[in-house]
Amino acid sequence: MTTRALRALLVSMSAAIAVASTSCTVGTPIADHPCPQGGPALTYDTFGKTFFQDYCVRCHGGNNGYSSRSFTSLDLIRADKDRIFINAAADNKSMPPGPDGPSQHDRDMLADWLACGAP
Amino acid sequence: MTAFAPRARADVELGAAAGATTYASTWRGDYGAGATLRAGVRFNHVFAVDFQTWESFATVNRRLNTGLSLGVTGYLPFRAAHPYARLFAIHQHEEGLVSAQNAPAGTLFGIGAGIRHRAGGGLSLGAEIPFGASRDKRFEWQVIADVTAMYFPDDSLGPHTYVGLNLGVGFDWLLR
Repeated sequence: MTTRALRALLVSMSAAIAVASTSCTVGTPIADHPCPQGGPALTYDTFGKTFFQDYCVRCHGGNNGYSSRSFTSLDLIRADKDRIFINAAADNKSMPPGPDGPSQHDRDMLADWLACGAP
Repeated sequence: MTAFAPRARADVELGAAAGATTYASTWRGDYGAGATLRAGVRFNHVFAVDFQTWESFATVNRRLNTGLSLGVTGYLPFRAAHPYARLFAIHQHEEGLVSAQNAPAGTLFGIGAGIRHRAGGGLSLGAEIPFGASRDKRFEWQVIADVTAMYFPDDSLGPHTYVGLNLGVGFDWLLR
């Protein structure tokens, strides 16, 4: 009984460590994502403003108690673009919270837009 | 006149345990795994006040969850096993791995950008199974397993509910 219980414990701990270690890839930085050839096709007015309103400003919208970072203007977004990229653009999915965030297509567009300097 | 009889002193034990945890949450596709530690003081083998912490990785948002709980546990002190129920209050930090990498000390103390704080409550149902003891029976090793559910009223920053399995090894040390 005791041996069986200890064996089960060791197996479960090994499985937990294996799951954690295979999943723990830290994000891709903006430096690894060059601006597409030909320059940016997106602007704040055609893409950025809507994206941030849809997915970010509920928490990052000023003094609302959730976050000290605010993404309500282009200047504020540009000032934090490296951090925004590594949390939400391309294959980075730390933000926004939950499984129903932007589509991969939208995250790729965000990556291109930020990599081109967020025009 | 009736004299007051001397009151029998309660048995007091120190207990601690370490183990692995795995769980799912009410977020779609959200599963996690990690480690847990528990320590507490038990009275008369049936009631304990204890602290338990979890450090785990969860799939959605590739995040680290750090749970800090304070609870009370009731035991049925049978010889072969000690079934228990633990009721606890929990404060949980949830943050992306990027945030944790930027500020590892912040992860430990819950300070820094990108850490989402939530409070909730939970219930564990499980059992300790003794598997070894000192000659004087004051020190006892145990295998511990339980099912734990946690509920967080504010679901704007994380899932409402977690349900998981904890499996570990611990000990009880009878102080008096």
